[in-house]
Amino acid sequence: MADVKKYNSSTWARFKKNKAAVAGLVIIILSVVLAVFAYLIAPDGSSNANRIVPEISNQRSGFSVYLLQVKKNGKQPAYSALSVLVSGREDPYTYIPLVRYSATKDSIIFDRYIDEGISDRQSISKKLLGDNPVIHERFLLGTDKFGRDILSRLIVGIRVSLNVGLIAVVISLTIGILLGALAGYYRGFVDDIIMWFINIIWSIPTLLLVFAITLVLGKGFWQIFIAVGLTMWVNIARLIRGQVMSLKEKEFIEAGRAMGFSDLRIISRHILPNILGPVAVIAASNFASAIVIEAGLSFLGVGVQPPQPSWGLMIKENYNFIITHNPLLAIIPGLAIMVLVLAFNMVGNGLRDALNVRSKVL
Amino acid sequence: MNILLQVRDLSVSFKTENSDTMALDNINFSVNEGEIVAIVGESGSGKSVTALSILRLLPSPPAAFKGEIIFTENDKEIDLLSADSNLLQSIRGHKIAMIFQEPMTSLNPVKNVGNQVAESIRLHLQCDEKAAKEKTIHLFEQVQLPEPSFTYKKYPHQLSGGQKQRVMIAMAMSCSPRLLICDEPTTALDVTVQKNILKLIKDLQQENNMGVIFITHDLAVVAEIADRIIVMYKGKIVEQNSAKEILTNPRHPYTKALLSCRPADHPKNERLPVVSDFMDVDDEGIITEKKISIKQGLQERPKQTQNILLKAEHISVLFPAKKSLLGKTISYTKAVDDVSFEILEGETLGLVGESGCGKTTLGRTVLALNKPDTGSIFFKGRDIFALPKNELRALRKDMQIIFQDPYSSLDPRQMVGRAIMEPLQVHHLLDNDKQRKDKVMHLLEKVNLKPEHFFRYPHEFSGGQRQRIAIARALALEPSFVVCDESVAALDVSVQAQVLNLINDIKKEFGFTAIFISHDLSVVRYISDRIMVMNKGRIVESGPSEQVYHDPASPYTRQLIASMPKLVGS
Repeated sequence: MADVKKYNSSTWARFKKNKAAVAGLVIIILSVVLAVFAYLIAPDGSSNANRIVPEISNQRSGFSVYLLQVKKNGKQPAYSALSVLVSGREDPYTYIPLVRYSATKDSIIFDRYIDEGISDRQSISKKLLGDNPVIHERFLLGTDKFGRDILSRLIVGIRVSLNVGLIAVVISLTIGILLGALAGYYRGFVDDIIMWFINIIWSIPTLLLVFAITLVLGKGFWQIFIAVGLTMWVNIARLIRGQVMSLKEKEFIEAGRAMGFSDLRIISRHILPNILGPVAVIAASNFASAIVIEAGLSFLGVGVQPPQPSWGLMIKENYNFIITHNPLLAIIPGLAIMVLVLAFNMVGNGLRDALNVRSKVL
Repeated sequence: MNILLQVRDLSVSFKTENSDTMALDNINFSVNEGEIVAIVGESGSGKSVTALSILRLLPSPPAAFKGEIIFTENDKEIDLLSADSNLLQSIRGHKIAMIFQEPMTSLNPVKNVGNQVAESIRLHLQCDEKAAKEKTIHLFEQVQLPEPSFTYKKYPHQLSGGQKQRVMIAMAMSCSPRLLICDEPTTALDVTVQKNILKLIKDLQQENNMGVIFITHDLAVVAEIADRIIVMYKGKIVEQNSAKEILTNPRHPYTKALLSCRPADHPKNERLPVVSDFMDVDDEGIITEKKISIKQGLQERPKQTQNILLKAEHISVLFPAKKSLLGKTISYTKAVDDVSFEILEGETLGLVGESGCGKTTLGRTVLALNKPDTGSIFFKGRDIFALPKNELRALRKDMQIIFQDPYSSLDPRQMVGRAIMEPLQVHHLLDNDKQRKDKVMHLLEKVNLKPEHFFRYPHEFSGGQRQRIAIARALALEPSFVVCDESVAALDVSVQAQVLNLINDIKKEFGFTAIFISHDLSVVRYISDRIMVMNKGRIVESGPSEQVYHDPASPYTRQLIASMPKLVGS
């Protein structure tokens, strides 16, 4: 058993040497952690990071303000820890920004913030307020046009990007491996049909195809995953087909046939494990392109629907500020996409180099 | 006679992160002008490293050199190990040229061969295009390529293996080098072609008064052409002497072993001597000679009966040769052409022929790995091509194949123990995995491997060990019929003897019937009862092995036998 470890650990050792790949891996692990605990980490832990405070819209990064927490009408449902982790909790308060305030016995008198330099004196009964009536909030990356915290939306938005990558890769790998292996192993008639199908899919521009699929499945979160997955299997299928075709010529495959192994066993036990390397590499790069495609679709409005935060959607909502006073609103999600995509591509390259012993081993 | 090259105290080691591997350990030799020096040794002996060090073709790091390699040119001594890259460039290909083992991959497939040779001439001699072309055609004449000006325009895939090697030789000779290094130049070629190439090298060497270093694992190949022989073992020179002296009066036990482990004229039923019969090597690599105690015991052969185990009737296999525009095949080559034969139970049938004669295709067809275009095969009286798919699969456990290339016949991602166990699981032999594992351990022992090898991966084994693993796997199902397809062709002569002994031993123990496919008549004669000689898809001769070997009836067989390399004196 020690040798299994040796084989894998030498791959790991080679991977470790590649600084860029390790940096990419660190970024990916960080973003996974951020995505999983998004609602606990984000300053705004409401569902979809959707705390709207219209008065403080379009603020620059580092902006800070006092907020009065006013209870919402109706009873607040109880949340389990798990549901908070998964989808956050509905905000129990509405927020009123204020400039200064003073407390009396049973009410609070405050100067309501309306705009830079404009305020309006109001008072409110303490009964309507939360236990901690006034909080001081700092918006590290500023706010968008609804006064929502950009940082929180950015953190919650990681979920969409990672999910779309993961699910699209799983779907495309499943279809790609299945069809690619069938075509490469059986050749002939099966190969002709599959290749014909692949060539047709390939001839349709990706975005157009995703549009068509979302038209059938409807707009939304899950539909996007499936649509992206359904367009990306083509590359994988072609790659797998080529690899299977060259491996099939190896004598150990023939030896398997001579020993009466079934085709299923030969493909799954002897061919697929031997093409893991290239598959891992293409999976990593597909992960990256899925993120880009999702961002593009959300930008065009066929992707993730508001109020759910997605990086592409955030760019769409804020891109017209790029030339006005607050370009950061759109640039920040853009940078986030770039960093994550870069991270996956670097890991992909690192994997390719680390797994490159295959030729030596064969 | 002038000394051309002197290697003094040369040591080469390969540094990796964790270890230094010593590839060459303090070797000394020299090559004179007009002399052919052969370096003989098994794989891993350092013979190729020696050649590559002379040309400084080893990447450094990881290679680290010590010592001196002095090349003498016009009475000027140049130390190749300390020469800068400009100087090396002017020596490589110009003063010292090299020919590699694999002519198939040393030529660029998208350029015609003439231009490739002309290009290197223009590069080194700085002459114009026309002169280079003339010189190339002249060289092609020298290396006896057919119709030189016509061959000039051909592409590598249009030439045979031997012709490609001739092109490589022409390229190497283009600048009239003082020293020619040949690294196993004939190993990938058929014997008849090998003989001609050897003669060509010898002729060219004498015409030009070159020094030649000829590297090979097979003493017999160089017996006829070498002036001096250097025997290497594990990075050291164990013996060097004149060829005659080495061949007739070997001193070192390893040389003795190399000379006697060839199956060529060995009595049929006797065990072949192997290296370990001649010497012991302790952990520090110190060699001690053994009193020769070859177990000369006669090996019993499995009893032959008169029952026909397998019968092939009028087998023809066609390969599409040309396709029309619409993809319809319009002409075929006959890989196997109307072949019929029978194998009796317990018999070993040898199938001999040169590459491309259809012997491998026939072997695969017999095992139903590909379908013949006409004809049928009866195994134990049943037509295997008429069987339904699942019955054929069940039948497969009764017929097995051992392949040529031990490097590609094992799944690199599968532990060897699991590889041997897998067929047992698939065919539901034995009751549980525990029993199967015991059986695998037993099999590993049978092929002289250790139980702890169960958990190793194929790349951790040498070629000979891998071939033994492949044999253990084929035997796991206890087949009654085994096809050995060139099973010893990829192995060194010394390892080949071990594997042949093993095959003989297990044949006795398991009592199976076999077809032994090989290009090497001497191996086939040693191992089989009956020989079929194949040429261009047809069987040209068949008969009892001694009769075919000593008294061949067809001219083709006679030619094969005449081309076999022979040790002087035997």
